[in-house]
Amino acid sequence: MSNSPIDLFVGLSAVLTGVDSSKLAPLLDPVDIKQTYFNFVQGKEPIAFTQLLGIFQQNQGQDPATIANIIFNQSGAAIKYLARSIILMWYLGSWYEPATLQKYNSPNPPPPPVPSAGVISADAYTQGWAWNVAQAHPMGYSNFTFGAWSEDPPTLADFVGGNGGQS
Amino acid sequence: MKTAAKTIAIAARLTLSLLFLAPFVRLAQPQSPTVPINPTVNNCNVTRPDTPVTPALLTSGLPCAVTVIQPITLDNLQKAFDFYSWLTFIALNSPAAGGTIGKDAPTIWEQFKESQDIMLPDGSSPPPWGAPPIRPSKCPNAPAGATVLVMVGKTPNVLTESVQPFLTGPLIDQQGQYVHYEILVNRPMFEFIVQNQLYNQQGQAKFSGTITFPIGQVTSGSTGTVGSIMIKAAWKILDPKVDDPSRFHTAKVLVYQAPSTNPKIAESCSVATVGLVGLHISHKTQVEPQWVWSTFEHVDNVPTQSDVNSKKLAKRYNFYNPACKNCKVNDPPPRPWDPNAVPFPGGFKSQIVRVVNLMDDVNKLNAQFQGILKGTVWANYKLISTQWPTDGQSKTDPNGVPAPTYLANTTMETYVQGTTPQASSSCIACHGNAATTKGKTSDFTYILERAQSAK
Repeated sequence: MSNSPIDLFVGLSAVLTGVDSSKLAPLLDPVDIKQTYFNFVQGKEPIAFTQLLGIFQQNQGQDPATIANIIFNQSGAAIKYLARSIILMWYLGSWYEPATLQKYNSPNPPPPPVPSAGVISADAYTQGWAWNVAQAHPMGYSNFTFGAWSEDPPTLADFVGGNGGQS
Repeated sequence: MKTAAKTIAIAARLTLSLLFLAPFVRLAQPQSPTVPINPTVNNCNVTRPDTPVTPALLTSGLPCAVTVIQPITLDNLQKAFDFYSWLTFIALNSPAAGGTIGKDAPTIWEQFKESQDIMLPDGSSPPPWGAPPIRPSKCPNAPAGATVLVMVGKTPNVLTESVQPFLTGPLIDQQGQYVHYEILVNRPMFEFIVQNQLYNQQGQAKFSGTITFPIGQVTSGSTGTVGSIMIKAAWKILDPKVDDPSRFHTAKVLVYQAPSTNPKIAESCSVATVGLVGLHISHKTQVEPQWVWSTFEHVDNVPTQSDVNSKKLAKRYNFYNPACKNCKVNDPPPRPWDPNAVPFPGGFKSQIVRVVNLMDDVNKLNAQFQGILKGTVWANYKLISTQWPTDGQSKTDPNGVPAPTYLANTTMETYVQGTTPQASSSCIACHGNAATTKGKTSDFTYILERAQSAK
């Protein structure tokens, strides 16, 4: 993998989400949601995002748990909550401002639910990884064929790649 | 007594059969003996997509599959699929009587079997391959063998051909005439349906396993099989006062309107000269079990939204009036939709704009192929795009993650253009929902849904 910003973003996202990078960014990728997300985060948090990608670049040879520890415990609040926002973005297709996440993780948080800044795009709604991890599909959108509801879904490993998130 | 009872029973069944067949007259046809569904051919077109576009391609034949070359990237593969689409267009639009594409003549695909001649109202076995189209009895003086176009519209209780462009509304040309449609299948697909008795509901109920139509593939050299091919064609009635027939592939057809009670529409039939304005070609191949979907249009159909924005408009279009400033764009006609009431009441004409621009590479390829077709009607057609599965074997997406994600022909997916998931047109995503009358997935064709119960 190269050290281009988009490749670093995919590598970072694989570590943050636990989803194989070949699933997040297939070789042939007509939807190209990774680029949508990259552009979105770049527009929202340009400074922290560049720092986060830099941290990942320096540590990408480490195992995922070590990288996670560096991001979440050793890099400051701006990086920590941006990483959380990115996780939520991949899973829910929605953007949660890092500052909002931080506020809700304080000793006296506002009452739930945590407000979202909105679904990032129509494609983002259909591409949320929460649905894949549930071996399901978003409400109102399914690629499965007629009658799929009466059959077992594909395995979790089929959806997320690797060993299906088993350690 | 037994003989008399049997005679009465046979007479009753005959009467019933005639009743069910009333709208159509069909000459008795001997059923052909069982033939191979998908025989091996030795003339697959395996031209590489980096081959220069020269007149030699006009006789290169029908691809049995898509030929791809390195590098395996989305852009490079899209070029290969688009190149395949043009080769397929040329091969299928070549004269049915033989020879090279050029002079306007009945084409190879027009000899395919019309879906209304497969899914018969009484669920009986369809006439064999090569039999003339079934002629509605309302058309007594029709030319022999004329194509029958069944009118667009909601016509319940009658076996209709096509409701393109879906039930969102018919398409009305600038002369106030309805656009007409037909669906046809090639012989491997036809034989698969017939030999598996999928042409009626009982046969579909009896069919065990998964319906898998024959595939196209190249096994070695130019040897292989031609897979199942479906054609969907859109035709515009040519007005001799306005339209220039020399710009279209034309046909003399029967325009048949089946009777309907809700809305109330009278049965009618007329002979018309029509011009081809849209053509879908879908082909099932080994590597693309979701089929490959190529779509072409007449160059005069519509402007793009960019053309409109930049005011780079032609003088006239088939489905857009540049002089109309207040016409609602991409809006279906007001109801009621009675195809017998033409021109459309109130002076309505569709004002259609292409929402998604053609890709630059497609525009370049179109110019190259139109160049070798210059001087023929076929130079007036253009590829819109080719949709194909990027991951045909995906376990989690039976649609195979299509590229491009959305694809619309303005004559057939007129009112569902765009890039909104589930709302905008995607050939594969839409046809992935197709099922038989028994609720089984039907391998990306809606034709099987039209099967009736055998009497």
